Amino acid sequence: MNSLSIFFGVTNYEFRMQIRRRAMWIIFFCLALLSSILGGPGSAYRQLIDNPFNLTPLQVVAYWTSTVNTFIPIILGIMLADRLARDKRTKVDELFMTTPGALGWRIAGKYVGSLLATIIPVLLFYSIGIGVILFHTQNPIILLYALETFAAIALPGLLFVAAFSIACPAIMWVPLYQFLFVGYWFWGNLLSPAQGIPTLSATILTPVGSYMDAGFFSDPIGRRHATALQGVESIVLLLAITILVMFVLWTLLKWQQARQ
Amino acid sequence: MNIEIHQLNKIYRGGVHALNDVDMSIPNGMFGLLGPNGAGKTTLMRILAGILRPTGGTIHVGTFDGNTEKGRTAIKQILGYLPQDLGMYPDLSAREFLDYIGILKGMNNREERQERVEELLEVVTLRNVAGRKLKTFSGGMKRRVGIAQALMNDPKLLIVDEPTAGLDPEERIRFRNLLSDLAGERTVLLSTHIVEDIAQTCRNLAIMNNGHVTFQGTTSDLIREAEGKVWTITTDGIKPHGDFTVVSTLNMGATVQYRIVGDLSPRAGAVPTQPSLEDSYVWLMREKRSPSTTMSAFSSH
Repeated sequence: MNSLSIFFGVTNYEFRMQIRRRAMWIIFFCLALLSSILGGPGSAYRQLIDNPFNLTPLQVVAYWTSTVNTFIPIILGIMLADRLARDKRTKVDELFMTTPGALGWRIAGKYVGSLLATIIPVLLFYSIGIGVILFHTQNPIILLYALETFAAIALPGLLFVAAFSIACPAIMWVPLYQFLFVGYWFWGNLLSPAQGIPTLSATILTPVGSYMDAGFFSDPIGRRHATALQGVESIVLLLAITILVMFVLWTLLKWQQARQ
Repeated sequence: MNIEIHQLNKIYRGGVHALNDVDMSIPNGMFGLLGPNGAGKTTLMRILAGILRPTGGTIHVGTFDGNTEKGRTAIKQILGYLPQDLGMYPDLSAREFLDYIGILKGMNNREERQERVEELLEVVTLRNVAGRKLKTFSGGMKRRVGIAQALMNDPKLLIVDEPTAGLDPEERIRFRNLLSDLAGERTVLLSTHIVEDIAQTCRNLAIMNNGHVTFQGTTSDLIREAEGKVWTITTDGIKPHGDFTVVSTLNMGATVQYRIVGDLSPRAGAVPTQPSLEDSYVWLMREKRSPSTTMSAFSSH
């Protein structure tokens, strides 16, 4: 029995099931519509046209990436929260327990497959802004900047959010997790320390990517100041916590199985 | 492939004693597991399938020890399981779901796996609707998908828990015939509270009640135990009274025919009748003997 085959097989089918969710596409479509009305891509476009801060194209792309990563992870987290709980709801978990396929590879496949599927509408939405910038600059290097900034600013946080969204519903009711997650996002990422309330938002633990934005791309608008080293530290910490969360989930599920 | 179960116990959290010193020997072929709701049949099946851990006792499936992780994994490699409450992903098609199960059962070769899927879809006569999502399937169609997924890895041990519950008579017959055809070189453990399913498919069976095995042997042995205990009484409508169980009431118009099971002293109009398996089951349940005396009284070993 090839464990990798199981991993890729589960990834494939989790991807298919998630990509077919109409609700996900409707939400992202509404978000794209709303942001075009409120001037999301337009804001990035305006930044480039007016260039009040003398931004380089890379910095404009970084700004757009950072803007997208401010609220999109909320939707990602909510849409992933029911993936594990669904197995219990549809009662397939009992059937899966009778198969020899290792639990760890199944969970890993579920994580990767459902995350990849959910990231696609995120990327499509992100591409709208990149398209606007590309149209204005007529410079194909924008595409490389988009790849670079997405990987550095957005991806670590999305991986982090996905892990918690897959894992936490193993121990709590899905709607409760979704509610708490939204609350956490605002508290832990968007609340300014100047408000006087203790928050994670000014730390390298924040998955919104502000340390990476400031550390690697200077964040000339001045929302955050950070060094490149702090940016690296933030990425490493977010990825390490991601792995830890998935490991804890695997351990928890094995323990639950053994107790039955 | 024989299954040996020795002194098996299962106590759930909360103190529910679902299995009580269960001893059972399951030979090759079709084996019926009969008993009322709450008897412990599903608990036993789930332990055999590796879903639950026993509180005590041993299980051996062929040469594999079901009490070790290695043994359980080995059993799962040769196991096909159709649970009572079958779960499936509603957004997958029948073909996709079977392929997914095949992947989880370790069938790495894509072509072989897909060939097997098509073969099983043909066996359960779902090939024409294989592309439809499972949420559009009727109960009977889902059951057929269920048996197909259980057979994906050509299992040596097939456990089916209440497979005909909720099916119409035609589908039930089709299902029973399919299971009988599958028995062959396999061990098929069929758990049900519908006696007719056992009568039509199994030579060997065990009866459970309140976590105990109250009978193990052949269907002929069980029927023999109820000989002289089944009667037909015809009255003009007045229900007969006595220390017996009425198993059927047939209104014939002017008269009513009662089929009863019990230790009945000969009385006017009582006609001794050849017992069916159901009559024998009723007779056994009625007596409610203790496990040790019942085993010695009814065991045919």
